[in-house]
Amino acid sequence: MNTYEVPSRVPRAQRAEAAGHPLPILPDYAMRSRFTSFDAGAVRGVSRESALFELIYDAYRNSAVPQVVEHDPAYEQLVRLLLLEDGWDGHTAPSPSRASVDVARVVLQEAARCEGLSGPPRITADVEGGVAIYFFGGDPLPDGGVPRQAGVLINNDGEGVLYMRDRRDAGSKVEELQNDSATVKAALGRIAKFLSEG
Amino acid sequence: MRDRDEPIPSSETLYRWISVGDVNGDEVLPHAIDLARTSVNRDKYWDDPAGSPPFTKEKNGLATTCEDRFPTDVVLNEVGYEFFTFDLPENDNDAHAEIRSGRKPTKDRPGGDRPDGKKPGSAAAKATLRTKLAEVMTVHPARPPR
Repeated sequence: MNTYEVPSRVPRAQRAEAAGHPLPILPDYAMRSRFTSFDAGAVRGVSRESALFELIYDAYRNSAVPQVVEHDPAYEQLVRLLLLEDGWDGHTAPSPSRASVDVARVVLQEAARCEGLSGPPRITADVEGGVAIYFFGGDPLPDGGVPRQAGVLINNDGEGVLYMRDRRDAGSKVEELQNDSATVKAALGRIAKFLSEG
Repeated sequence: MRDRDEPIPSSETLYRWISVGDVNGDEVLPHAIDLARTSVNRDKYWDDPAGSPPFTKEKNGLATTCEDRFPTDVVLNEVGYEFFTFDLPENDNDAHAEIRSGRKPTKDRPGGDRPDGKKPGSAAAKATLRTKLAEVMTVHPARPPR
């Protein structure tokens, strides 16, 4: 994750600009008024664009002093997934839900802190709805891939499963995963260990 | 549109459009499998898989399988599951068919879950079935010759 230190007393919009943030900047009062609707529990019926807006900007809302504005490709990929429409695969694939993206964010936050996970994760929409996050490990195989693949598959209800596979063996390991940070952290630790042994 | 043509021979090649994000080497990743109805194109009714334009800008590669390769003896939570093909020609795609899954036929349920199929209840069981089908699909870096 790339982070940029920004002085904390500068208005948020200017801080983002100073950090070279590529996303559009709106006045602070506009951000607050939109957040209010989410804070009030008015998520039901909120438009997709509004949800996207909130997702983009809550990094600022949640940032602590000293202010750090995060620019994370993985985070931006989640935003792109949220923009997908139903049928994005050319068939009937549902678009990723907000619930699945929220869980994916927890996974990515913990992954960024997990020392054993090197290299960027692959983050993609799931054809059954939801988000899939993969990590890969091991020396390259003749087919251009690598032997070990593992990750978390999150469905549109926000339910996650841990997935691990060594392509040199038959079968995969799949386990249901609770969405709390501690469980996700432990699961990612297992993934890191699994990949490192490849 | 042609009439339905079943049974699909167990050795007939079935093609699935995939994107680069769906693969690791020559293997398909489980998020690219739709357990209820994985869309495929039948070899018998697809004139030129190697020369066809991409399905979408992203889905520009092909993976193949056939019924002979489908996983067997799949038991999850003491329930047997199977994969089967369902011929489903479309107005703009005569070759279209689907791979579906459901509970195996039993004495009490001689038809199993055919033809509609049925997903298992738990998220882990669903994911397990998806991984099993993904593992029997083979990615072709170049479009496969016939």
